[in-house]
Amino acid sequence: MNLNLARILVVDDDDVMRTFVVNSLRRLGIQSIEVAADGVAALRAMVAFKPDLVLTDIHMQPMDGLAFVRQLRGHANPFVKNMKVIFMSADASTATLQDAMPLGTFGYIVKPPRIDTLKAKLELALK
Amino acid sequence: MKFIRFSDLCASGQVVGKRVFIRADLNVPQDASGAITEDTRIRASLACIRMALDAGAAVMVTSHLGRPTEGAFKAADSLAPVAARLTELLGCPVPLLANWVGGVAVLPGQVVLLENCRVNEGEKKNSEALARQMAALCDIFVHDAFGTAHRAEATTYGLAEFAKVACAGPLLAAEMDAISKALANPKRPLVAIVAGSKVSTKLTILKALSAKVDQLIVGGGIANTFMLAAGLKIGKSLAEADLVEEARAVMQAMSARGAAVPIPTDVVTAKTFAADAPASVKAAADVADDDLILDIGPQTAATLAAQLKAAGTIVWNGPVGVFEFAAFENGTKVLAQAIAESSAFSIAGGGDTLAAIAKYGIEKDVGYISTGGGAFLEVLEGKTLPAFEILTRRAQEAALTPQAPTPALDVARGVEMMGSEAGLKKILATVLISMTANLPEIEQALAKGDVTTANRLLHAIKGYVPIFSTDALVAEVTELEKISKTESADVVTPLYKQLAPRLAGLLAEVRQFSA
Repeated sequence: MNLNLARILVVDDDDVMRTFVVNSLRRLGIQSIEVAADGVAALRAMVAFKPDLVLTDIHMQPMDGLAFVRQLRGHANPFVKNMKVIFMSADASTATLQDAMPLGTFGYIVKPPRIDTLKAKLELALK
Repeated sequence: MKFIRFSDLCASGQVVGKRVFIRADLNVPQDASGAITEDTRIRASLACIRMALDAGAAVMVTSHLGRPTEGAFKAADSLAPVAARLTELLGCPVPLLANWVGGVAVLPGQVVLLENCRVNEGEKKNSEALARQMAALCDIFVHDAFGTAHRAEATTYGLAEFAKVACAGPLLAAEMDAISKALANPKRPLVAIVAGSKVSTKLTILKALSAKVDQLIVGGGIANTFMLAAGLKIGKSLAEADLVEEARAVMQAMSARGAAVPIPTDVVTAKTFAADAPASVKAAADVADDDLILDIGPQTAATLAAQLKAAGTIVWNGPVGVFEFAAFENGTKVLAQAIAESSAFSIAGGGDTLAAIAKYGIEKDVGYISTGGGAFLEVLEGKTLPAFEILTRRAQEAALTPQAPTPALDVARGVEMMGSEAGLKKILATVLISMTANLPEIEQALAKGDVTTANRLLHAIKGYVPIFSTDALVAEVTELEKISKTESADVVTPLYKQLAPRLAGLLAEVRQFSA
């Protein structure tokens, strides 16, 4: 899939980080970007926005990224259930990785990603 | 006393390539031909000079020598013999420069000796014009001459006032530390020994100490005057009858505070003042009309020794008997040994005291031996020495003056991460809003012991600072965020207090960049 045409949902509770990720996506030519500040808002956006890929933070309130992706994986709608997800976190600890990996994701990005790292991860996920 | 230490400046690399002006005390005794007869002061000054050279400074050193007439230099006033001795001791050339006030050529790694500072017109009277001229010669002024700390002269005060940075060298710092420990924050009980021939010369010291110490041990002629005040007979002993009322006032001031001036219960007497005069030990009440009291008795010495051993802090100025004569040295010897054996922090000073310390070989057992005679006595009198006053004031001013902060914003990195300067400005606008709200929230959370909230907020900051901050700040934030995951507020709060000014500095830089 051409990156330009991808629809990306960015889930992060931090304004600065959302601004950064959206800026990076725009630099990669991505036009359709939606943002959500936590898992609950992200779940609503799944149906309304119909993204091709979700970039989600892990540590968020009230619903964190892991709980959000577990909800996706248990969803009745196959589109939502099989959604491509990339986790982003400033926390690169093994414990967090162990929690995140079994949830069937397309990778893990340590925040803040450099533009080429982000591009490579997106291309791999959207191939 | 808070003052800037030259050693700290050296250790933190603030001396590299700087012009350092050291006021040392190189006032050594010389014989008629000008040869140095005793070089202790020169050797003592080496620590500071070497410290400056090792730290990469261009070093200027000066001192007074003797009492020359200002503006009228004579060959006998010259520091030339000192320059020669310094050259030998340092193992590098130490050129002597005359007429140096207008300018000194010296490069980093070099040391020059500036001719006798008391020859400069205006030195004694602390001329502001002279002090400012000398201050312009250096980046850092180092006061390392405790012996002159009680004088406000151009090189000992004015220079410290006008130099860009004024600090204490190792010798002065050691004196300031010892004096603070003994007199400003003494471990109790604080026992002082004030002895000597005359009350009159030490009355101010006795009065000042009577307001501070728990025991005031008097000796020598001073003790005789106190014995008179206590109603005892002292025979022909040296005393000042006209000062008995003053002595009584000191005793009353002490007892009003629950402290005491122990009066000797026994004494050693003789009929004449001579090394071979037959000595007799007797009760203080039994002193005959023709007796001379030349020492405290063994019972008194034992009692005082016990008090010294139980003391927390001891200040010693003056021998308690005629310790130069074997028959009358016991009191001084017993007290010296008690000071040596005591676990108390002890500080001793004054010419006779230093002689007694040397005689009984207890140099290593005295906590601190002050070398500045007049300055030490003025400290005991309760005076604030001009050098201490100006150095502490300069340290306070330095603490209040905002230092050029270590940069926290890395614009080049920000532009690279965001793709353009406009992109950087856009994210920094968000950072301003976010951090302005979050920093007080972290503080409030920690004040309530809520480390979880503090960690959550620090985690967010840790996430975005690598977009536009220096590696140093990123490392600091990352470290504290990690600690705040596991540690309590007691641990995290003081660490956050160190980080907070750095984050505030980042915000200031962000504001300036965005404006």
